[in-house]
Amino acid sequence: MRPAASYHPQNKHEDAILSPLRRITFADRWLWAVLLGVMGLGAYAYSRQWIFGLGVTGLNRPVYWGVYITNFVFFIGLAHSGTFISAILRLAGAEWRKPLTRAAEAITLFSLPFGVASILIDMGRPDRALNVILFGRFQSPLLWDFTAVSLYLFSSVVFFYLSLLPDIALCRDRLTEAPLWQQRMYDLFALGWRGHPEQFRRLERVLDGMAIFMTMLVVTVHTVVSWVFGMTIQPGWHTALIGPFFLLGAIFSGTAAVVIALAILRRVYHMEEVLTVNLFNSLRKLLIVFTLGWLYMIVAEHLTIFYGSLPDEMEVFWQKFTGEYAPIFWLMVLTVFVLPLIIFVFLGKSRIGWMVTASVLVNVGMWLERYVVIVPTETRPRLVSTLMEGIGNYQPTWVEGAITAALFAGMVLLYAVFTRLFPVVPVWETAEAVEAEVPPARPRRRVFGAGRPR
Amino acid sequence: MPIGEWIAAFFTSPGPGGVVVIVVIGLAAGIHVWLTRWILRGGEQAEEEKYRFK
Repeated sequence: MRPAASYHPQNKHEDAILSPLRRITFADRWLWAVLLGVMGLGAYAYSRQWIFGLGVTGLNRPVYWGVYITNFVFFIGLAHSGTFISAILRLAGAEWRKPLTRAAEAITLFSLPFGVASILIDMGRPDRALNVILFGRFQSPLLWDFTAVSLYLFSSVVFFYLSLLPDIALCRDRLTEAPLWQQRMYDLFALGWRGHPEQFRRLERVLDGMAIFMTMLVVTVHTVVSWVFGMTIQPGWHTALIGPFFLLGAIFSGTAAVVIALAILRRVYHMEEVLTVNLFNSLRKLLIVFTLGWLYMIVAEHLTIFYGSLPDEMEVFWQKFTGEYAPIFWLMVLTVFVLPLIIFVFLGKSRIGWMVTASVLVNVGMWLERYVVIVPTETRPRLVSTLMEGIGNYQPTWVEGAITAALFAGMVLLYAVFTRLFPVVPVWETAEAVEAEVPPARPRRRVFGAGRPR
Repeated sequence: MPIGEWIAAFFTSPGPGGVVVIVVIGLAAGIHVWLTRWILRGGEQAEEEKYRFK
């Protein structure tokens, strides 16, 4: 007789990782209800927009892109966290990433759809999105964007699902006390996984190959998203630096989001032994590098503009530095660079609370950064004739705020539900992981001539 | 043969872009499904041999 259950690698933390799946608490239900309520408010706001048109928002000539497009860029940026940690660090051979790959990939999986939804919400006629396929032109960066983001979404789902497959089988075999619908779900999604060593070998090979592909996609996707702006000739957008600018910002904000997610999971599900402090220290080092890299990009960009002093560019420049958008710009500088860098360098080592504080500041700052990149340029377009008297200002309305809140609530809701149905730490990938601390290096001895033959 | 014209028309006309989008995503879907099935087939032959006479 063929064995009924499949083989699962031994993992001493299996019980701790599967523990959240064994019951849904009252607090969970409250959280889901609150999040659904926020989404309901967003749905009501969207219904107002659907009935009365985009006039219920602050969008008007010449500011055609506002909070919705900011959300689009922000969510796509968040999505890069998972791919960076699971794919890029996989290629780099960073074994420490293993416990957090699934949590990071889940951020990717659940933020991408809301990024795409932001585009549809921004359209007064969402049905016209089909025109990109029916009448797509190669010259259009929107077509490149559509292709890249769709491919990224699809590939992320597959990459995530394949790495989850052995653990779905584990849930099928271990969680026999789960409700019948849940057991059937595991049975369906396990696709008959048997845990044969050859299956694991093939899975590792495919994941390695997909990691290369996903790394290329990460670079492509956010560069193409930036080219939706960069390929125009608007002051402040039309720069060769916009691709790397957006890409680094995406990985930066995504990694900070991973820190927040991990800290919450560690606290709520009591995973102190699985999600160790060392993981946060490793992420802290990455975030220091990203903060400094981002600072470099911002300084390079603005110094070049300032030194060139082209009139069109300087209009936008002064809008950000001293004009109408100065408070948001300088708040962005404070929350993306100054405070996080101080916290990461001086306060964050082995202190998860400070790491979370800095990461929240980074994400708030990065949202403001996207806003500051997008809106001021539109208020001072190159074609001054489009800037009529009294126009060139943008004030978001409650509709945009409610829909933005709903998008974030939706992402958090999907993430929270996911953590109660599937293991948020990969059981099979961490099975062979060395849990002990790295032993200290032997102290070097200052003995000259040691080792030379006598 | 006006190949140059055809290529120019392909890249500048409305429509072909959408075809490329569908082809790219369709191809990706096909490859991913095939890879998933290949992974799941791993070790099938060895197991068939092992359990053939049981």
